[in-house]
Amino acid sequence: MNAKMYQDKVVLVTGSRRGVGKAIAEHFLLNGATVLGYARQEATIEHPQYHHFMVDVGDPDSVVRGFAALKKVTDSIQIVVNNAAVLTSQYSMIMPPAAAQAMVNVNLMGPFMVSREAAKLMRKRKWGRIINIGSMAASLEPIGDSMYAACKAGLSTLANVMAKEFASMNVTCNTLGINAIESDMLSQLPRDKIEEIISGLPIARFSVSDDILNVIDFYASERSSSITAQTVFLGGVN
Amino acid sequence: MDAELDSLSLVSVIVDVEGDISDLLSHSISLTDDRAMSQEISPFSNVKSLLAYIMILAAEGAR
Repeated sequence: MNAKMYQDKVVLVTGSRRGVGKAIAEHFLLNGATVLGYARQEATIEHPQYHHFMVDVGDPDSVVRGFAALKKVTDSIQIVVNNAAVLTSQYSMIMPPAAAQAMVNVNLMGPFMVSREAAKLMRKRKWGRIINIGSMAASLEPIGDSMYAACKAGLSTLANVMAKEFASMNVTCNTLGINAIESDMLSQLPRDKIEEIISGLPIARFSVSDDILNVIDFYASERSSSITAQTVFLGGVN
Repeated sequence: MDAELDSLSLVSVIVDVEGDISDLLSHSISLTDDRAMSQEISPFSNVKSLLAYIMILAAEGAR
């Protein structure tokens, strides 16, 4: 891999403080990108090319304010990774409505707003890559994940429609359906339940960061200009 | 019926105007928020109504 493959790229990563989002942000930084990170709390990344913005992607006004702030740093964004997500796993009949609403706000409305605002910048240079971090839950539809799975399924649909709307701007929109990876989010779920699901997959192991970064690089590549409205699942989920 | 812009071109015009006016005023205005879309007379009915709505937003921003 070219060590500076993203040297001229400005990348926005939501949920950049920890877990998958942090790994993705650090990957782009390592490869020369300028990274703009959105998260509700203070930065956990220190790097001269990292710019942190305290944004709640579940709040549309916060997203708009976040874009106003980042325009003071840059007038362009080439790549967006919609990673921020929240998860409450619970039987539907006892799922607190506020928790369900929070998932809609962060997991679906957030990517919509971020993609919407980013596309306005991407269209000026007629180049862009929007990458949504989905989940195996969208396909496997596990008990307890009704709203989470619905949001992640919706995320693919969101990308597919935006792919049509943004195609003339040379902006692609794709989704990566990740499976279990060691993270704070995963630790919220019963370990035995996760292991049971993973053991039933064709590739019966937890994902590692490079499994995710491999697909991110594929979607972000200059060569992937005709790859749009696609969802790739890890681990053999389909 | 006599439109000379297709729908995507109209979207592009709105986004361009929004961006250019924001730059001109040095503060962000939004032509695509809930308020704009719920005006009794749509700002996008014609150029005059769009201009009138932009003037309202500009005046609010100047306060």
